[in-house]
Amino acid sequence: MANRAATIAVSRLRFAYDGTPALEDVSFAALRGTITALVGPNGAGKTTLMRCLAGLEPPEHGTISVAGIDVVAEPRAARARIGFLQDFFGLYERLSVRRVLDYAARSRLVPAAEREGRIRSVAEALGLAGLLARQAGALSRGQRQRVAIGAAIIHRPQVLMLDEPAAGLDPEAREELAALLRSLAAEGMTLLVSSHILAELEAYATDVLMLEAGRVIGHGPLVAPARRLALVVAGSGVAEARAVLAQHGIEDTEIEGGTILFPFAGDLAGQAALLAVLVRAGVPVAALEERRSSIQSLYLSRLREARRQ
Amino acid sequence: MNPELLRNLWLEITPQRLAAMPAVLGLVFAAFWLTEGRSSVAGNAQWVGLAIGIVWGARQAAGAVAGEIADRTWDSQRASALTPWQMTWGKLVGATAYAWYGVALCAAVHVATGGAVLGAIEVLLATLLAHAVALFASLVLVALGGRAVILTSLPHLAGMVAGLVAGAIPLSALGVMSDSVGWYGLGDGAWFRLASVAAFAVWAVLGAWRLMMRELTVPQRPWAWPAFVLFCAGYAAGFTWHDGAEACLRAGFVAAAPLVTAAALAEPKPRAPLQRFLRGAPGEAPASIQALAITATLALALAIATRPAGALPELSGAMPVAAVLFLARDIALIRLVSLGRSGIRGAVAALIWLAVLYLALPGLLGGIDGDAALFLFLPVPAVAAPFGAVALAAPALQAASLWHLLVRRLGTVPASDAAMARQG
Repeated sequence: MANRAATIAVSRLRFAYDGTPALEDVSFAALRGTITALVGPNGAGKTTLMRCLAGLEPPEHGTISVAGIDVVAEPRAARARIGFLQDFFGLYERLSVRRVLDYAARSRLVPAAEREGRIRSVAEALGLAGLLARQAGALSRGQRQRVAIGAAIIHRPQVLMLDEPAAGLDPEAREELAALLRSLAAEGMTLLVSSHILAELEAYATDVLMLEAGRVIGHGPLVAPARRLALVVAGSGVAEARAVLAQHGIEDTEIEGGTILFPFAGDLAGQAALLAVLVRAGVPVAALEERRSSIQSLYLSRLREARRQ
Repeated sequence: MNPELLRNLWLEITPQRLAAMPAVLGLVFAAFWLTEGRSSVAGNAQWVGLAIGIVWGARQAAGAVAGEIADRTWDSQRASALTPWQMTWGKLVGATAYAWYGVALCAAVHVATGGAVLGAIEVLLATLLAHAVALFASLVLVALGGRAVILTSLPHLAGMVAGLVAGAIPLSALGVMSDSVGWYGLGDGAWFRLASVAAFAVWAVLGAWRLMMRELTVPQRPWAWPAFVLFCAGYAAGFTWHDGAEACLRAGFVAAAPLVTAAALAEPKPRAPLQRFLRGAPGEAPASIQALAITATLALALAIATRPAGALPELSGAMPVAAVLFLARDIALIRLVSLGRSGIRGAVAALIWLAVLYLALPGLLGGIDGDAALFLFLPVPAVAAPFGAVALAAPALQAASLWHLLVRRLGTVPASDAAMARQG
């Protein structure tokens, strides 16, 4: 990872509120086109980290680089490349949605010739096309959220940071948001998304950054590079199943109750062949499925580990 | 066009409002014409213009940033790519655009009905000063933190006071004073006072711009506050020009010294920059220390220029130096009192301490015939202290003690940070 250019690079970041540390020795990098889920308990420093990255809070120590620009030394240049939506945000209630987006585009250096097109494309992507003439103050909570997201992405930032972006959105709108975030990442945007709803993050995150008490307790790609299978065995056939697996060269196994977890290098055909072998050997197989390393399990195991230390 | 100005114009200037202002003003001036005659309109237009500009406009300027904070749009603005200057004048002119519309109409009526052009300029400059001071004060309080009502009401009050000072009562006195004593030998009080208002308005705009840089976390070099302190010292010295260099230094010192305490009370007090400054990063010097450096230079020059047998023996000798030492003590005291308190609460607590030290305790000493011990709390002439050196030793000891305590309370900062700050 260190050999590839990082769109976000943070090194030894420290920040304190009147002497009370909020971030301590935070270092991480996020590559272009990734969606990093920023997770941690309340007060872990997630919002403070985002505010430091957006150039809103000058760190006491450390360096922050966004798209190759030092955020502390050149905050304005960095902000032109960053989109940031805070958890608690406001809109100009007396302005129309079109003017809210227009102001966002102007204040984020979108060229005049492109402005109208950007407003239209953002409105279409977020389902706001029919609301452009409406006053922001007359919108529902979900509509306001979508307008705010639109204002954060209208300048096509290289880095987009969203703090609890799905708050206030209904299930359908959440699904649309996930699709939008995936498409933005596919276009090369680097996203950092904070949410307490970990299942929601799993729908689009590629990486995870875990914070606890202002420190990084885990960071990396969300899906393990090697496939991992879970063999669910009915009754007391675990020992028998392990023996069959060992006969086929699979010895690195982990037992979770009636489930045997093991890395598997083969493809789907190989998986089907293994299933056939197990069934032929008389193993009472209930299921053989791929196991993803979920954010929830990763997060909880890292959190417990960090608190034990 | 400046996006912040444009956004404010979208909100402030609507066809209905454009039509309403001349309609209302027309009725007001018609009433004056009918009741007091045509000759009264010019003078009343000037006063109505001042009221719109200073009372209403200053409220708009004071709320320009506080309103964004209350509506949770301020951080979104801060996260935009707007420059500090765009943000400053976009708010200064934009948030007050409708008030300016009214002021401009009043100024036009004033001139059209026989009023002096100078009177119209006075209204415009007083309005500009009131708005700039209100915006400046609001940014000072925003950095300190506080409730929304304080963030707007105190800057509004500051703006109104500045506008009234500029547009009304003491200006004529200032003009008369300038006429009689001559500011740096210049006469013509009317133009002097207009130039004074314009100069202070420019400084207020400059100050708002610098504070906006801080809000937008744009790195800046510390030159503006020292330059303002020097300007104030030079401005005050102009009134004593005819009395010689010593009088000029004295006036400059008297003008500069309060700005040290004002800065110490008003500046934000994060620990890290002060820690880095104490570790040898001069670029991190707080505004109060910057002002103290200039005041100390003036005090030394004054101490050297002042002879014991001078015209004003009460200011002779080491008294200005003692005053500087008391100011150094006050900076440490204000910082100490503000540790662990939010900005405005810390400033209020520090003010109470200063009132006790400068008013209550000396008053108590006076009441028990203890004037000989006044040197403990006030800069007094060396002759009034038991012996000369004590007049300096007392504040020096207090300053050293409080700074020592402050450094201990601040804790330590890793040497790497100080090195980084120096490199930066």
